[in-house]
Amino acid sequence: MKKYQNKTLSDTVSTVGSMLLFLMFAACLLMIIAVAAGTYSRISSNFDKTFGSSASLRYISNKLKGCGSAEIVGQGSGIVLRSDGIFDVIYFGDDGLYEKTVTSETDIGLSGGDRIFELKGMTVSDLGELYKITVTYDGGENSTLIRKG
Amino acid sequence: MSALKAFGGGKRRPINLFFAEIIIALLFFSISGAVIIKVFATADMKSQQSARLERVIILAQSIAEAYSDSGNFSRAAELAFGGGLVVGEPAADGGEVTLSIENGSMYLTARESREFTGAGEISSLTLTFTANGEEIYSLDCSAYIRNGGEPDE
Repeated sequence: MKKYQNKTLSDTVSTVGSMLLFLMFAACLLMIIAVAAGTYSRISSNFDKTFGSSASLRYISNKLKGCGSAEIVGQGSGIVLRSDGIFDVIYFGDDGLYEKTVTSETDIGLSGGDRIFELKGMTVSDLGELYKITVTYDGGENSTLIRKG
Repeated sequence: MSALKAFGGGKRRPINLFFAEIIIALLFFSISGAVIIKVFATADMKSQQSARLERVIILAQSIAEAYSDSGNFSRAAELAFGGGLVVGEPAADGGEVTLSIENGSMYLTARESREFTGAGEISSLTLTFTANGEEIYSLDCSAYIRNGGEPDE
């Protein structure tokens, strides 16, 4: 009680100043955390969009280059890659890219595959001597050209 | 003791020492905050650069694939960029064409050279993508055009 009575005005100002500084520090910290969370969210979103679509394009391109022959099916929503009697079917359906490998031509169809990428759309078109593969993702699309043969 | 007195401290006013400590801690955290903000800004910039490089690589590969088929840069560029883009053909003797892409944020320079042989024509194309005056990606490709592009007899 005696201690409280001995407090001077400068002590009170000093305490209030310290508290204000701490408040400022806490506010800055919260701001930094908010900025950091926003930046991380943007980086993560950009990463998913860019690399998800480009990875799927590269996957299909490499499969296409490595196969013996290819045929577009399902009005461009799928492609059948033939090599050594094995049929690899890559198709779009249900917000994703699916793939299945079959050995019999009768099993070729755009269902029953394993989901390999999450996408909003995929089309393969024939441009004469080139294939054009277009993938659509949240907020954009990406396409590539592949030479036949 | 004299040092404490200089701070106005000692037994009489110990709160000033606490005040000084708080200021030092705040200074430390402020510097840390500045470093963290800089790191995040750099990470964001690197992420955007990486995404742009990825797009550019796919674009360059598409042009190279189309060019290796026809040996015609304007056709290859039109196919890669989509319809509506009018592209001039670089001069055969090492001429170049510069295109503004991605709303003017990047430039594509195509440099072409042709070598005529008895068996046909070998056409080489160098694609260089630049942004803000700096090269971000470059790709060399070539096409063999039999009989100068004319059908076989």
